[in-house]
Amino acid sequence: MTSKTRVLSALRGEKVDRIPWVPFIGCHAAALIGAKAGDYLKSEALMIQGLEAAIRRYQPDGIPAAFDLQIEAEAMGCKLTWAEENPPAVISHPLALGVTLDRIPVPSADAPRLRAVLNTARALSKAHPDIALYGLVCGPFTLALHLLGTDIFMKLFDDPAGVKTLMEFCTTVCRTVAGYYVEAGCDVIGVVDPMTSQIGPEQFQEFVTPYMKPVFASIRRQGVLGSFFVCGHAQQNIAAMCDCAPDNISIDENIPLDYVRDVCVPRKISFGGNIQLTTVLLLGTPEDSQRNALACMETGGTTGFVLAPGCDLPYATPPANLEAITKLVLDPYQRDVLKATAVTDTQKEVLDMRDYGQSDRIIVDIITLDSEACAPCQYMVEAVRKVTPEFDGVVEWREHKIKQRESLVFMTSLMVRNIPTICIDGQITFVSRIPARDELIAAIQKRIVEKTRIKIKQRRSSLYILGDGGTACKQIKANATKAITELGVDANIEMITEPERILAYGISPIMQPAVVVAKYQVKSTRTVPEVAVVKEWVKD
Amino acid sequence: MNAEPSSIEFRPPFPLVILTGYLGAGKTSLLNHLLALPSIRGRKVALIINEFGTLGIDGLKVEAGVHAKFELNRGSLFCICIKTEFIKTLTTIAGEVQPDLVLVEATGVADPCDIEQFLDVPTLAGRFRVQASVCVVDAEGFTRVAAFMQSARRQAVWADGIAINKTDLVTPSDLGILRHVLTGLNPRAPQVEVTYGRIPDTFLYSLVHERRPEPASERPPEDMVSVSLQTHRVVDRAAFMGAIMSLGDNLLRLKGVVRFHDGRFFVDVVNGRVTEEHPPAGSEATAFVAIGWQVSRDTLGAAFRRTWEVMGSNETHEL
Repeated sequence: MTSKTRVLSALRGEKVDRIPWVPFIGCHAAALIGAKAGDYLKSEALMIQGLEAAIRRYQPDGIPAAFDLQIEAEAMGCKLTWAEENPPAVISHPLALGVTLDRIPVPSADAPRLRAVLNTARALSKAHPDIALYGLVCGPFTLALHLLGTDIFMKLFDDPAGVKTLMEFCTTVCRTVAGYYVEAGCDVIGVVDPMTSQIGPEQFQEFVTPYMKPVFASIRRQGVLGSFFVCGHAQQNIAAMCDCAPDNISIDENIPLDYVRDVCVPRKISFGGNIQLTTVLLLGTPEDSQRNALACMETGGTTGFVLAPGCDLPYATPPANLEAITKLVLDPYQRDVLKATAVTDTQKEVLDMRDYGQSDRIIVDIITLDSEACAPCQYMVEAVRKVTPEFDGVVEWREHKIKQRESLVFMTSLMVRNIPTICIDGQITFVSRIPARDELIAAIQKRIVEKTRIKIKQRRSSLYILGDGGTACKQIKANATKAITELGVDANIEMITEPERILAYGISPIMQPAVVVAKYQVKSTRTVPEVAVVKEWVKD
Repeated sequence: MNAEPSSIEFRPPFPLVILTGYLGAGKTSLLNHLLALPSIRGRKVALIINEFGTLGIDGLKVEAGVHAKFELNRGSLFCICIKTEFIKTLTTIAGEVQPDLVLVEATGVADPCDIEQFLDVPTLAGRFRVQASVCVVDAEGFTRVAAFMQSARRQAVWADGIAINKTDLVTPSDLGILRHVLTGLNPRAPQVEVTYGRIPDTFLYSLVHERRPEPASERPPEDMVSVSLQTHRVVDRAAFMGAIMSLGDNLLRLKGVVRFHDGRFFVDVVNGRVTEEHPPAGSEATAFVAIGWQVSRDTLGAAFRRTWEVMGSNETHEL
């Protein structure tokens, strides 16, 4: 199976030898060759160079010629603003500025940026005939929004007929541009319509389905396959998207992949996407990326599933993260190893933490990703490190980097969910928040007081009042009773008046009235303590 | 990322106020108003302007040099793409600006719960604290937009406080109904009625932020529904008006062309008030949209379908 046949088979819902990998590389390819996104997306030469670099590094089964939903809008008169690390954004909506629809052109294949992307597609399909080439077109609803602005939502009520006319026109654009991509050698047309996530299924059926259906029918008539891309909270529309009869539906991380699978598969539509763009691919590690990809692969399976990120990869995605996914895709052994460690994680050894934090010292545990690699973790560790000397050996602190297995077990056992977190004597105290110095000191002091109180409570004592039992002795007894009540401690008071017993305490008549306090602690019950243990008690 | 430990300043998280509201609700005037409040004016404010497809900062009267401004509309359009930019911007703000307050003007299509999740990424965790999320609602247009636009509804549902703006443009009874609708969407959020976005600072400071669980994933609550109806049949005027009457508060709005036995009319219903005008030239058919509240789509649709079925004849057919 070649990469291309693997992608096409998966898109058709057929079983494949392994899951195809289609990184949606847009301006990220610019980063690979050190170009700015704005220069890259305007230059055929840079796009070819960038995609060649991406193909070398990521060994994809499929790749898009470009990922920029503003190409059509620009050719139709929308003004753009450019960025260094992002595709451009539309900043003017001609229909909102009084331009009438009949004056807006269907983009020609010679529109400069469209021509650059089409030429890129031609060059790539020639150089890599075995890779499935995706041509991405801006979906009609998103294009309508580019042309009209967010007024479109108001017009769904105020002027539904007008919105339908606009959708009709945008559909024509969509079909025309899809035709250009097919002619340029693309094997798959992705119709990318993220703004449909904003409407509910009823509006979708009224304003999108009738227009989108002919788009996919026309794509199929041209001998290629069609994928419907959406991003955002679009779960409510997945079934309606299926009714548009695409070959495939591609979603981002906002929709659970198993939900999409369960809606698509019975309708004989393949699915894909879902690898988390920001949290995992951009900000995570290669291992995070592999784990996320593996989870997607486990849900997706080898029939009718395409492994892909949720949307256009961020410019600054670390290549190592994508390379790690490539390794996982190509190497079943890597998948097995990862699966095995994942299984142990799910078994979750949980330690019994009931007696944790009962020693004389105060234990401060900081659960981090790694204080050397994560700034908030570092600040949290520093905060604790600076405060502990104040307590002169009473407070002990430890960092638990959850990259290490035992730390992960420790974190789970303490029921910590967020990183970084400070636990004081096993109690979650500061979650994802670096406490101010005073706040941290106060929290530790509070625990010290608490422990002291517990200790006091565990102690028992007897208070003996030695004397003649007269007014002074009675006053002492009253005061002692009050003190014991106020402290809430377990103590008994005894008045001793017999001279010989008083003498046994070493108190002569001239020293009376006197008070003797005897303290005792329960050290063991129902055991015969070892000599060494008793020695420790006596020393204490 | 790794600063020298000795140079690290320990400080509580930066407070962050999120302003939401769909385009045209009046976020910019509210933001201008906030920036001019005595309790905010002297403070170091970092501003994140995050508008979808507008001219962003241009409409803001921001004193030069006082505030750090960040625009997110450079290239980022959609949810996930915004996320990358947003995280980058906040990292810069925490590191370089160290403001007293961060004001975020969310895009009209942003989901406030997304914004809160963005703050959870390890590089930002603990550095910002959402003080309040305020949703600006346009008194005149809200029910029109919210029935169609998921984020307009969700922004109201997720707010800690709702500023009902442009109250001078509606009648007290319309306002009463809107307040009722908003309470239904979000019973927890206090409401304040304002014009030109002028919320009192006491309102802002009285808000308590509460982080709520993920949105119901599959479907938003059916608080507001819309139904679009068309027919070639003639509509019975008395039955049609009767349907509007009997729906009462369940019908928030209706707009479109209706062909009665005495001719075609452009009908506009707002909270039970019906106005009729000469219709624009075009199709002979009846075509209108109704927005309902706490009523099912089926009930809403059936209430109107009955008004032409009573007049139905065999020669005409429903579209």
